[in-house]
Amino acid sequence: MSNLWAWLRNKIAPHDAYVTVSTQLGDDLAGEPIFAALREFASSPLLPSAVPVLLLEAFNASQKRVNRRRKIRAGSGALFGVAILIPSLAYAGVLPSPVSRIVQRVFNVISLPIQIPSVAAPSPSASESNSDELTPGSSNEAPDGEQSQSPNEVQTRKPSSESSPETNSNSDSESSTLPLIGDGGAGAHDEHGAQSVIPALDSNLSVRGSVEVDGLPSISGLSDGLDGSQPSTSPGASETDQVSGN
Amino acid sequence: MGEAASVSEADALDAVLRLAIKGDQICFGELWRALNPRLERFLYAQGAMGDPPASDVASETWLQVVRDLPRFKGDYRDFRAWLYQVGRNRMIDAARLKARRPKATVDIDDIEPMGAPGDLSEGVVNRAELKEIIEKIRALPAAQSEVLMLRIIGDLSVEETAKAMKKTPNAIRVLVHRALANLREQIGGVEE
Repeated sequence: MSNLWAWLRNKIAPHDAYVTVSTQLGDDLAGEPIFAALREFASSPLLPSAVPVLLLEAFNASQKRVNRRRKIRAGSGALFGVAILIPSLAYAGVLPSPVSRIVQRVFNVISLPIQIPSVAAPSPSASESNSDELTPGSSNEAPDGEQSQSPNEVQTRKPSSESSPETNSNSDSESSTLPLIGDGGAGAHDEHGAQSVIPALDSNLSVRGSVEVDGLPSISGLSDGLDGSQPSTSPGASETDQVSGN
Repeated sequence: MGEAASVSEADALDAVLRLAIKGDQICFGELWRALNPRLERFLYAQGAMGDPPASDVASETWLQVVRDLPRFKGDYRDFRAWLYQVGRNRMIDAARLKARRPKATVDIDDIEPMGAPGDLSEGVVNRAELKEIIEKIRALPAAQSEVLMLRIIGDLSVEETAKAMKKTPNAIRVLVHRALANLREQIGGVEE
């Protein structure tokens, strides 16, 4: 044990000596006569001088820059806080309903997938006819035959109508049209799915398929359009459209 | 009594520094007036007696200080140490620039004097003695020379010098000790 202690002391001793000597060196420059001239030079009376204008300008510019940076930082922090706080309050139900609705709409827009524009030009009339087709009031049984479409017409017009921006932006028509395509009702907001599925179905099926909504009676007779005959929309179908449209 | 006065002066300068950091232009002017003369003299002695010109290097130093002042944290002593640290760095930059600059081919005697700034050593009584001691200090190793200049001309304490040179206080004490020994040896050798 004592050997270990002695070994440690020998190891530590040089450092101790260094510290002791260096601290004992003290301020031996204070009374050193060698530096008398140097001290006189350092503390000789100074000519009165003003701060250079360039330096003052740089000082002011620096302060302005700092203030601007501080404001930007505070503003971005506040924006971030608002961006976090408002949706949280809206979902908590604290905010009034108009604000909540706006927040919900913004959130829906943000959460929508990016739509790739199709090659076909958008045709607003086609989308109108599609939406009319699904509204209960204006069924395919139009007396003058203008609103009613043969399966062949629908087959040719459907891709362009699906790619029209009006149809995509209208969430009511989406929720009612897309399950008709036949993707099982999954993904009412999936425009890409609708675009990709419709041409594949065009060769065999018309747009009219069977509508199956959970808890609601299916629309019978829509599949009758396969053979080219006029489908008869049952009263249940109009109810379904209303429900899904709402 | 003197110590108390210096303490109160340091406190006052602390307050001035705080105001200058907040953007007070007058307080910044006070800081400049308090610190610039010694800084210029340090740069003058350190940089081969005015080459590069001490006032130019001091201006560069202050510009750098002004740029970074809002981010500075510390008291007046820390500020002084930082100022000399920046001054050292600008001096090194100026020396490098001077080494890279092509030499003038015009004879210096052909150039008319343009009212050059006065020599900082003009007011000193023993000017020859001053030049001699500065030459001797500059002949020492760089760290020893620098530590002497900072301690005597810059009037920095050991701790401030340590901060300015990024060394420990003990290393500064050892450097001063060695510098003094070397200097005494030089002077003794010359006298013998």
